[in-house]
Formats: sequence, structure tokens, C-alpha cells
Amino acid sequence: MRRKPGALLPLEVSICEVAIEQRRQGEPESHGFAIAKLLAERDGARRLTAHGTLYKALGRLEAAGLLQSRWEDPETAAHERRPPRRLYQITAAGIEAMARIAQGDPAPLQNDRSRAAGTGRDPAVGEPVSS
Amino acid sequence: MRPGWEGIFAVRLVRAWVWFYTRGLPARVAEARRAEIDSDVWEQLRDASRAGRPVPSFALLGRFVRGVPDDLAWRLEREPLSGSPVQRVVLPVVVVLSYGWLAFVWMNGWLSEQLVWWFLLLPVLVTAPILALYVRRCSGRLARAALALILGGGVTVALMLAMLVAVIFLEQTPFVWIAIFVLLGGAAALALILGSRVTGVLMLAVLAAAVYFDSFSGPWRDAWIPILALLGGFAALIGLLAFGVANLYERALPRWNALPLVVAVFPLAAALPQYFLLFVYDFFYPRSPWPRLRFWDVVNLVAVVGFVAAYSALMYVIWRDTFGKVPSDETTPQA
Repeated sequence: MRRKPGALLPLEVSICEVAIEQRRQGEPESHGFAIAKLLAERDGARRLTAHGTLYKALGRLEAAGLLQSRWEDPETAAHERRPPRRLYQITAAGIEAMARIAQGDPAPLQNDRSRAAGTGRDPAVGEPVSS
Repeated sequence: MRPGWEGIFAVRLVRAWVWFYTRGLPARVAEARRAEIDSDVWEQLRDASRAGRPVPSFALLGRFVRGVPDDLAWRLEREPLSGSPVQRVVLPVVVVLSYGWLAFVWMNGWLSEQLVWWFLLLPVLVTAPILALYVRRCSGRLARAALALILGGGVTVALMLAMLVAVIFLEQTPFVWIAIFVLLGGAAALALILGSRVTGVLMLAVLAAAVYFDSFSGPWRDAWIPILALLGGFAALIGLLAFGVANLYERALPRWNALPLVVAVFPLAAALPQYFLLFVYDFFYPRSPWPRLRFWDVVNLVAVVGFVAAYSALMYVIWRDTFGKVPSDETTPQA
């Protein structure tokens, strides 16, 4: 799907909405599979979003400063005998962008304000685990 | 719930794909992506297990397949193409497809005779300029002999396949002529272009001799010319194999021009296994139930195996050169 300047793709909007909903429910951080599952439940879809599509969208949202991520403590993952999770949460810029979309703005990133609010980290890597 | 073979297959396929498309990226980026997908797959399996559902093998495969275009797009975003798109992407893809097609055609001899002829020539016409592009791109880093052998070997093996089909399905050998002209003429031209005049003249002389002797009838026509063409083909094939193996083990071929030596020695070396094969074939199959399968067909069959191995190695080299190497000073996100 071709992207208009400053606009978000439908999947990106959905991810941000799910992240905001999770934040409201007191679970501000979600890992990739949880987001995929929430998206499917929300849309009544039988299929989960594809790996490549989901993580590419998450990376773009983080690069735009609408999401931020961190790798969870490896000890937590080891304790639960599972691979470490990368946890995403919505940022203030993300909430603002969604509010603008709700007000009818088709290109909430047009003036690049949200991008400027980004963390500047490499979205493909995420924040390293703090020890 | 332990996954069955199909679940294990799905997980391994997903992991192999992630490993494949993250190869060559900085280690930190690649490891982050792999760790994230690993986590996702694990969570999906656990989610199914907790819900008492069977292992979601097809769902996993579906998520993997549907995401492939985005995976590739992500990869290209991470590493913008620095060279010509032809060199970076189109070249390896077209080469792989061309030779995959060649293998397909070889495996499907039921194609009509008219089609076979053109189907077999097309890969040669397609891949020769592509390989030439690759040779030009790498000319500063690889030995001339290796470059010449890549091109000569590729074309030659394709022509040997064509001859095999001609012998078996068309019951004639018109492709020997093509082999002589394309192999020797092409190699001579390449040798001249790359600067080895002695080799170029030598190969042109062989070509001229082949044309001259073919004007006679008798044993020259039936024996020496096909043998000459096939020995030349085997010489190129062996060089091609050596190039691929050497590159697989990260060793550069020597930077001296070995083509005269190759021309002189490799046909002899190639003739020995051919005669050995003939001996084995006659010994075990004195009355073969398949009369069409003759000595040269067996030889060509061996060439096909070598061809696949050599071009697998070449594809690896092209891929590695295209997407570079992983820097060693990066750390993983979990480190």
C-alpha cells in the first residue's frame, strides 16, 4: 500500500489504538505476538498479522516516535523458561497522533512533530537491556 | 504439548528464513530481529498449548509466507542498495532462476523436440551476459583465470546439458558445434579481453583446428571434435568447481593467469575419470536395458551433478558479495 506523506497505514493506526487500549487497562507494554493477537481479536480476524508485516510496522512506528520499545530483563525470561520479549508501549507523541487522526487529520506526521519526538534509537534493535 | 514433525518443520522454516534475510546485517540488528521472531513463535506455540489447541503449524507457515515481501522490504530499508540494482538484486535472482529453469528443463525431457532446443539455449543467452556483468564487477578482486572459468564453465555446462538432451531425445549431436564455437570462441575472446593474449591465441587456434578437421569425414568428425569440445567443457567445469570450493573456504585463487595450464593439463585430468566411468559402465552394464544411455550420457550426467554443486557455490559467493559480511564488533541485544 502506497503511503501518503505524513500519513499512517491502517495497520499502524490499529497497532497504536491497541497500544492505547492496553495502556488504559493498566498494561502499557505488550510484546509482538500479544499485539498480533489483540489485533486479530479486535478485528475479528481468523489470521494473525504476518511476522514481516507486523514487525516492519512496529519498527516504523518506533522510528516515527509513536511507540517505544525495550527488551525485558533476560533473567525474567530465563526464570519463566521462554525467550526474552521485546516490549512496546505507546508514547505521548503516539497518543497525540491518534488524537489528531480521530479529529480527522489524515496525515498526523505531516509536520514531522511526532518524528521529532522520537527517541533517536535504532528501531531495528530497540533499547538494550539495562542491568 | 510437544509439536509433531510438521510443527518442528514450521518453526525451523521460520527460523531459517529469518536467519537468511538477516544475514549480512550488523550483528546487533540481525540478532534483535531473530530474537524477536523467536519470541513471537514461542508465544504462539504456548498460546495454542494453553488453549488446548493443536500446534499451529499452518498458521505459523501462513504468517511466515504472507510476511515475506515485508521481510524483504525491511531488509532493503536496513541496507540501502549502494550499487546498481542489476548488480545487487537482479543479477543473483536471474542467475538462480535461469539455472533452476535449466535444471527443470533437463529433468523434463518430455518437452517437445522443437521446444527443447530453444529452451536449452535460452539459459545460455540469458546467463552469459549476467555472468559477464558479475565478472566485470569482481575483476579487481579475483584471479583472471577464475573469472574466465566462471563464464566459460557456466556456458559450457549448459551446452553439455543441451548435448545430452540432443543425444537422448533427438538422437543427434548438433550441439557439438555450438559447444565448440561458444566455449572455445567465448573463452578465447574473454582471455583476450582480460589480457592474456597467449591464451586467447591458443584457444583460437584450437577453434580453428576444430573447424578445419570437421571439414573431413571419418574419425575426425565423429571422435576428435566431440572429444575436444567435451574435454574443454570438463576443463572449464573443473575450474568452475575449484573456484566455487576455493571461495567457499574463503581462499582466493592465485593471481597468476592459469588459463594456459588449465587448457593443457585439465583435459588430461578430465579424461581419466571419463575413461574410468566408461570402464565401470561397460563392466556393470554390458547389456544395458536402456540402449540410449551411452557413455557420453553418463559423463554428462556426472557433469550435471558438478554443475549443480558448482553453481550452488557460485550463488553463495554472489549472495555473500551482494549483501556483505557481518561486522564482528557488534553485540546482540541480549548480551
